[in-house]
Amino acid sequence: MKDGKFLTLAIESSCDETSVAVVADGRTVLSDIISSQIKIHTQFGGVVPEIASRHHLTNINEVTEQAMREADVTWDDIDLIGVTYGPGLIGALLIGVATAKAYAFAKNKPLVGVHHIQGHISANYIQYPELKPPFMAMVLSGGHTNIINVTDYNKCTVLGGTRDDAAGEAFDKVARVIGLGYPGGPKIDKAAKEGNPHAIEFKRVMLEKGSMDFSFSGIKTGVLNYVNTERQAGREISVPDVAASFQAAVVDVLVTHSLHAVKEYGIKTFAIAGGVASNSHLREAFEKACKEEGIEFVHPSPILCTDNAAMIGSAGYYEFIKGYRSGTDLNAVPNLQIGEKQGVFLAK
Amino acid sequence: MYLLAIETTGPQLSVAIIDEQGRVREEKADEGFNHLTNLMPLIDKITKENALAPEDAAAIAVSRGPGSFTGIRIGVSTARALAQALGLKAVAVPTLESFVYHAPEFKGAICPIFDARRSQVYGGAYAWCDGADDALMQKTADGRAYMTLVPGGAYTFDEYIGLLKEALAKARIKEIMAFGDGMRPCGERFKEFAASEGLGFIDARDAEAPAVQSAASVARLGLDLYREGKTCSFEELLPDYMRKAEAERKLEEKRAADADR
Repeated sequence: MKDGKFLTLAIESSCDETSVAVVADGRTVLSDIISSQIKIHTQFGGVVPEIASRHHLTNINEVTEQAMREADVTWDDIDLIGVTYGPGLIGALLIGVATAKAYAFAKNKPLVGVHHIQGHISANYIQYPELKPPFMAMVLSGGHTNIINVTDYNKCTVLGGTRDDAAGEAFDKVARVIGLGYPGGPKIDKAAKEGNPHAIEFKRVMLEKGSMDFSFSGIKTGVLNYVNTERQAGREISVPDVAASFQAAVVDVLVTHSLHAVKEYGIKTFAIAGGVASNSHLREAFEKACKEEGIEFVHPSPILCTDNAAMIGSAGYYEFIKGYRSGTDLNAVPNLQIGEKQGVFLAK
Repeated sequence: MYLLAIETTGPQLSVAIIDEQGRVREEKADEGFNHLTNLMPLIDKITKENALAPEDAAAIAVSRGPGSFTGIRIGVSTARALAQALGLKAVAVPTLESFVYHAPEFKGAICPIFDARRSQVYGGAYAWCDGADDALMQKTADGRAYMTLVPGGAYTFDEYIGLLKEALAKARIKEIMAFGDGMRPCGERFKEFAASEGLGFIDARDAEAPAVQSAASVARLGLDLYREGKTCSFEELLPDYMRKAEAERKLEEKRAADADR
């Protein structure tokens, strides 16, 4: 405790960002240090798990020092340690989990394992101090595309998700094909600003009626076929047009499906979260659609959309408040399902 | 005064404590690769059962590799975080070299080999010796000494045998004791080599000595290094993978090939 506030030291290392944060009362960010490895992985054209793990190990302790220094706190002020334990790259996750467990043991602090996606959703609690469940959330990242019904701070159910590629994956693949390179999301977003979203009408793949699932591989294949046909015919493609048209098709599918879910469940607030949620066109489209339907639209600032520990601190705080704890035997779970708790138990 | 030692680089996880007199207590987990789950509970157990407070440790000694990349990282990141949070020094213990304490009375060559896949082993070879004057010899806390016959590294088994043969001839050593999970793929060839050279050969799996990595040996070598002042801060505590990441190696090969063109 410091100044009457409950402080969570949070750790996130599920992919290629090493991040440590100090969060007060689950809502106020005192520090959120993010050490990104993106420059290292760009030369390989994507995240290399072994290299990510090696860098997490050498970075994490210094990132913790920075987070505590910037928050101006000591170990005595810390009330809880929260850590992402899945889903993610196993080798990357385990650096965070091993470190968090050692801190908790050495300083005799309670520990809570946090679901990475729960963290992304909780970024909205930081952005909107008044926001409370229930609400509907769409999580969009390199590995996830899900419509999630958030019923409580630490409880949620998946209503639908992608049947093939995650949205972020589709962005990365298309970016590679049209020569924009890695990481695809921000590069397509930028290129699309110069292009015409109606230049090419890529087919929107809507699954059977009533389904809240979606598919992006069809759109992606549409782009690949278009690019190949044009190249074979010796015609030059317009990268901004392809980027804008592809992005428009993806966003169309996402908006249609999520609004369908929001209306079906009679929910008044809709949130987006995850790395792809910082895509500017996507935000505008959701903003507009929600406004038309009279639904409140919330979204974290771009920095809270990336993988960061502050969101884990918020989610961990609420797990703790609800009575959940993890033991010294906490494991990293690479394919942890949304809503699943492994090694996180209700305190007696 | 005590040191906490961590060994997670091999098939069996273990932790140990060692006091000033060199008395060791060790706790082992069941074999199997769930080191992340087992490590902290075992540290908790060994400190509690011996009524030791973690902050009273003089240093954290950890087996730094080579071995399983994941295993190395579990041990080293735990040791780094413990040293950081407790304000303690760390001791980076070379895993292969720790095997000298698997057989402290043995007169021949101590040969740990670990399966490194891709037709390689991580191997080293060491031997206890009498004279402690040679600068190449590593002196121990109790005034003994051992020498390095083959420096720890990633070798094809043939390379390893080549270096070992030369070193054994030079040091006039006639006996070998072999350790580690590299014995599974290479044990038969190792035995044949010894027979063809007329050397005595002991497979640690058939002997009293531990056959794989153990925290008790890490603790003993850790205490030697600690006494010599070979400690480091948590930031300086680094793994010794002895091999680059696959993607890194491929990228370098590609760049070299491109440069040649």
